[in-house]
Amino acid sequence: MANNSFLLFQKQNTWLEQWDPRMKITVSLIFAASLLLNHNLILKTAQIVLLIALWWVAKLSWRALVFTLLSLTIFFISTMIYRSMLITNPGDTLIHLGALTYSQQGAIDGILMCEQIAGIVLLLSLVVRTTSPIILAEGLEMILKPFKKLRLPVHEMVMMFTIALRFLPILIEEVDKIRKAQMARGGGFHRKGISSRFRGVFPMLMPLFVLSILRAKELAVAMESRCYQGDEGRTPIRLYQMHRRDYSVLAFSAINLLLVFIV
Amino acid sequence: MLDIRNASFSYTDWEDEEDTLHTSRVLHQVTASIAANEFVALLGRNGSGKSSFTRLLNGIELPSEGTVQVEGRFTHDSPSLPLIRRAVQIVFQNPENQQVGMTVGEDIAFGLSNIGYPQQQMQERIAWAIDLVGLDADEDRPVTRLSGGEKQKLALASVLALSPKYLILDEATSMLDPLARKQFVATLHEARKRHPFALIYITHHLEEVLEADRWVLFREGRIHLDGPPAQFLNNEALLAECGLELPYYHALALALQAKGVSVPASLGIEELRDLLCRFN
Ligand SMILES: Nc1ncnc2c1ncn2[C@@H]1O[C@H](COP(=O)(O)OP(=O)(O)OP(=O)(O)O)[C@@H](O)[C@H]1O
Ligand SMILES: [Mg+2]
Repeated sequence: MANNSFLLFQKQNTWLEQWDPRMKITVSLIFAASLLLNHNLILKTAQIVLLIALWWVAKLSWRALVFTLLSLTIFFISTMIYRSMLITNPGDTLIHLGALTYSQQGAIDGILMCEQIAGIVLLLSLVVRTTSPIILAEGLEMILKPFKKLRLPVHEMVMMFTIALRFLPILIEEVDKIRKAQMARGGGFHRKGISSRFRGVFPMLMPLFVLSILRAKELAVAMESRCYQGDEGRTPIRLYQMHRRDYSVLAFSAINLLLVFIV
Repeated sequence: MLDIRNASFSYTDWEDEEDTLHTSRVLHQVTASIAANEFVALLGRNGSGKSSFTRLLNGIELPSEGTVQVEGRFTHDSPSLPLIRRAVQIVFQNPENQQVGMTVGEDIAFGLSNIGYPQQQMQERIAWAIDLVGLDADEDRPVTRLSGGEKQKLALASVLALSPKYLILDEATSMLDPLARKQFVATLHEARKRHPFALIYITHHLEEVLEADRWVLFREGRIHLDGPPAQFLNNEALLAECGLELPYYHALALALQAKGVSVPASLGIEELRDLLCRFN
C-alpha cells in the first residue's frame, strides 16, 4: 500500500489545492498548448522551471519529482539519439557527444523535445496530485456540461473515471495477492527468462478479471442502495466559485500562451 | 412498517450446456412484517435466502410474485423508489465494495449528494455522521488508510447520514476481529439510542442478537420460524439443525436448567461469574 499511494492525490491544503477545478483544467490545457507550440529554448526552460516551482509550492515530495523524471529517461535518451545528425546545414558547427554528433539545430531540437515530454508529464502529475479525483471529476463534468445536450453520457463517463481511480490501489493490492498465491503454488511471475515470465502474467489475469467483475457488481448494488440514480437531482459535493485568484491564474496562463506567439 | 406478502424471488442464470435460461427460485412465498424501531435478527444457513430477502426490501430486486411495501409504498411502483431507498439502507459485508469516495468526507457526501441534500449543509451533516459513529478520523482521511473496523464504521456513517428508518446489516461484522466487532455493535446501538431506527440484522453470531425483539429463521428460501429469541433458545435441536451455536455461557445456563438448577435463561457472563463464586 505504502509504495503506490504516493502516486496519487494526498490532501495537504496547499494553495494549489484550493484552485477551482474548472480553472485548473482549463489552465492545464492552455499551458499544455503553450508547451507544444513553444520553440524557444529559453522560454521553454522557463516553463519547466515554473512547473518545478509549482511542485514546490504544492509541497509535493522531491522523491516523487525525481522518480517521475527518471522514469522518463528512456524517452529522453531515445529522443536525443533520434535527433543526432538529423538536421545539418552546410557550414554548421558540429557538436560531438560521445558516439553521437549533433548540429547546433539538432541539439536544440532534441532538448526542446525532451523538455516537452517532461513538461507535459509534470503538468499532468501536478494536476492529479493536487486535486482530489472527485473534485477533478466534478470540474470536468461542469466543463463538459454543454455536451450533455448532445446526449453524450458526460456524467456516466466522469463517474466511471472516478471509480476507476478509486479502485486502482485496491486492484494493485489484489495483483500482489494473486501473484504471491501463485508463487506459493510454484507458478507465476518470478520464473527466469522473459518469455516464461511473460506467460506467468496470464494466469493472473483471469482471477483479477473475475474479482473485478464481482467487485463491480457489489459496488453497483451498494451505489444503487445509496440512492444513486445518475446525475438526476444530485447536488454537487462542494460549491464551486471562481475567485479573483482563479481569474489571475487564468490570465497568467493566457499571457504565457501569448508570449509563445510573440517570441 | 415493512410489509412483505407472499413474496417469491428467483435468479435467472444462463445455462451453458442446454443454452437456455435457467431460473432458480430462492425465496418461496415469504410473508413477514417489520415494525418501526424494531430489532429483528435474520438467521439461517449459507444460501438460505437471507441476503436475497433483504434485496427485496429496498427495491434493488423485485419479487416475482407477491408484494413488498415500505411505509405504504410498493417497491414495484418505480416513482416511489427514491423514497423507499432513502428509508431502507444497507450496510454490506465487504467495506471496500461499498465505498465510492476517496476520502471519508467524500464517501459520506456521495449518498447525501444523491438525494439532493442542500449543499450548504453538507459539511455539517458529514461532521454529524462522523461524530455519530465515533469514527476517529477527519473527513480528509483517505479510505485506504482506515482499518477494517474503521471502514465499516464509515459505511455505517455513510448510510446513517441519510437518516434511514430501517437499517439492514448484511453480515456487516463478519470481516472484523472480535474486538472490532464488539466496538461496531456498541456503536450501532449507541447510534440507535440517539436516533431510533429499525434494525434488520443478518448474522451467524447469536451473541450479537440476544437483545433482538425477534428472530426470523430462514430455511431453504422459507421462513421456518419467526418469534422472540426465547422461543428458539429452548429448542437446541432446531438451532443445531440450522448451524447456529449459542454463546457458551448461554448453553451452560440451559444445561443447568435442565439439571434443575434455577438460573435465569438469559444468563450473562457477569451472572455466570457470580453463580460460580457462590459455589466456591
Ligand atoms: N446473483 C445470483 N445469481 C444466482 N443465484 C444466486 C445469486 N445470489 C444468490 N444466489 C443463490 O440464491 C440462494 C440464496 O442466496 P442468499 O445470498 O440469499 O443466501 P444467504 O442466506 O444470504 O447466504 P449467506 O449466509 O451465505 O450470505 C443461494 O442458493 C445462492 O446460490
Ligand atoms: Mg448473504
